[in-house]
Amino acid sequence: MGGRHFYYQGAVGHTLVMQEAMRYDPSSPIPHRELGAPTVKRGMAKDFYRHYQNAVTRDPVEWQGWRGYLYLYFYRDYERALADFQALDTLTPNFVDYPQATSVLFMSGICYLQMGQYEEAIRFFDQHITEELKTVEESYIGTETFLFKGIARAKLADWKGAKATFERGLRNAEGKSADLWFWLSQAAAELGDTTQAREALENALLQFDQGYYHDRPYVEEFYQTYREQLVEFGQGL
Amino acid sequence: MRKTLFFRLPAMLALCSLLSQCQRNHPLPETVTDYFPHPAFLQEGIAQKYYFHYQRPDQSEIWTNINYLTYQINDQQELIITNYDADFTPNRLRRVVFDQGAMEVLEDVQYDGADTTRSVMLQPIMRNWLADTATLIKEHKTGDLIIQSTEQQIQCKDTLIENRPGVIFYGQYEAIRYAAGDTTSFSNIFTETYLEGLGLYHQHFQSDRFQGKLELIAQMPMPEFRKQQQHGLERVAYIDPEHTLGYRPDFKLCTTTEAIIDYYNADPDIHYRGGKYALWKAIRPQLEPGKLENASGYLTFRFVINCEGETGRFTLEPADLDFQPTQFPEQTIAHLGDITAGLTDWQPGQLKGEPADAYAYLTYKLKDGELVELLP
Repeated sequence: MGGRHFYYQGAVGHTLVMQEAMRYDPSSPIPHRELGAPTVKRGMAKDFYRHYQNAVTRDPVEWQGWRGYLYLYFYRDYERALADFQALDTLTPNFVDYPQATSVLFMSGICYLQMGQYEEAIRFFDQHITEELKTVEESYIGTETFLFKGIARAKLADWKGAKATFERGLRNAEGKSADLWFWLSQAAAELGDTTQAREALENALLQFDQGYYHDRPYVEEFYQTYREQLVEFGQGL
Repeated sequence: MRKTLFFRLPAMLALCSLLSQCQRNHPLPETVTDYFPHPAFLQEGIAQKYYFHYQRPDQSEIWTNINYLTYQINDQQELIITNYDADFTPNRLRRVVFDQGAMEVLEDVQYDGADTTRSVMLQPIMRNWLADTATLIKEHKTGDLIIQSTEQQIQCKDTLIENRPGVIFYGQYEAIRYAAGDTTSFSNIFTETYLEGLGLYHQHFQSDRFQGKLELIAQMPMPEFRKQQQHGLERVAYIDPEHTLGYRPDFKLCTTTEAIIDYYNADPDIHYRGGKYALWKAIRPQLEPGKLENASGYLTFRFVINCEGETGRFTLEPADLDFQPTQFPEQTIAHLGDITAGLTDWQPGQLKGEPADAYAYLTYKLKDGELVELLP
């Protein structure tokens, strides 16, 4: 039973149709997930957990990775996100899952990056790149992969390696990434090349003003770049 | 689910028999009356519950909705047919009378939120139980838009479903929309089944764009329907203005409580100006670590941002780090509540070019008395 295309998510009609669907087919995860979706977007953590737990219990292959994605982006709960990604991997061995169209290898890399396990983060980003290159050219790989991998290197104080990674990402993106230019600027500054740092920052501002920066609906992107941040960084160069 | 319907029927028919002893004359002629609920129920009012199944030919969209319909005879001995959405909000009312087998529509009103659209009847016969054909032509106007629709019954056949006699109408429907010199049309074919004692039992619509099927699921007496209608539910994340944390008592909406949208539906997007970077800069200097005590969990303040970018109607949504109910220290709530209510640089939004008020939230993720994240 659907109803989700008829009523606004979270409207009374939507809730009543989903409750009916649960009675109609108690084994279906769909109405639980449907009831959970507006609670995620509207800051209702307890309700999110209850509804998605019900969905995962009914169909872990479909929903466990999806819940991991939500733990990661909406709640910044890296341990729970990883647990879901690993559980999903056990259920679907020898297969890379893409809950919410995002690779679990990539998201696992973010989890380790945020948990301060940088070597492990790099390993997952590399695995993600290797996996993607089996089907697409490198320029099709999202620039965030190179951004986050570079940041992991920077966190390990490997600014040279970080700079090379940001440059690789920029080549793939044909220079259209304020985020990568900003981090390249920071890397250059750390390596003592103020001239390159300033040039990179100029490019970052240019790209930012043209809209080439990462953001996400509903939530902040990891390491999201803000214009004020660029301006303040430039004042210190 | 159809079991529900027939499970309820014996009890209802027994009641029917009792009621029939004191029934008044009713407006449905003999040729038609068998195909509607018992006259006594029509006098008292009776509600029917339906599932409406919809799908596109390529299966790209498949969903099921719940609809309700009530039949009730009014003081003028006319039959009032009212349709309701799943949330029990009426969306249509038709007032009909019968002349022999012909069902004549006297009034057809559609409701959409606060908007009411009344059709003008150009040809009023919707169905005819004694003839193969009937024609209903009506027209309604909304602003510059005029819609003329024609519903033609082209055949009427007897049927028997689950040992219950009935009649199937076959027909075609066409709607022509005139708007700003542009004319578009839509058409479908349909069948419509009435069964003895049940009224409208089944409808099937078919066009090149979709097919829809309406099936009767249950009948219920009017008091039961009214009881279900009083469900007391609100939209997810509704904030009761009578039960808030008390910040900004002079807060005013630009619209109405019912019209409040969600922060992510506005254009431009409703957010704190400068994003999370600016938010941290505004909050961090105000934080007094001692007031966070040793708290852990997701301390969420939900509130409304009006079309001027002012905030109000604050409420609390606490959860521990395992997403379970919890209580935060009063001092922590007051401290973070004061900070949240003191944030003033919100970018307001619009909806379809009109000023909009929106629900929003800010979550403080605390771990052992430390603020580790601002969400979303």
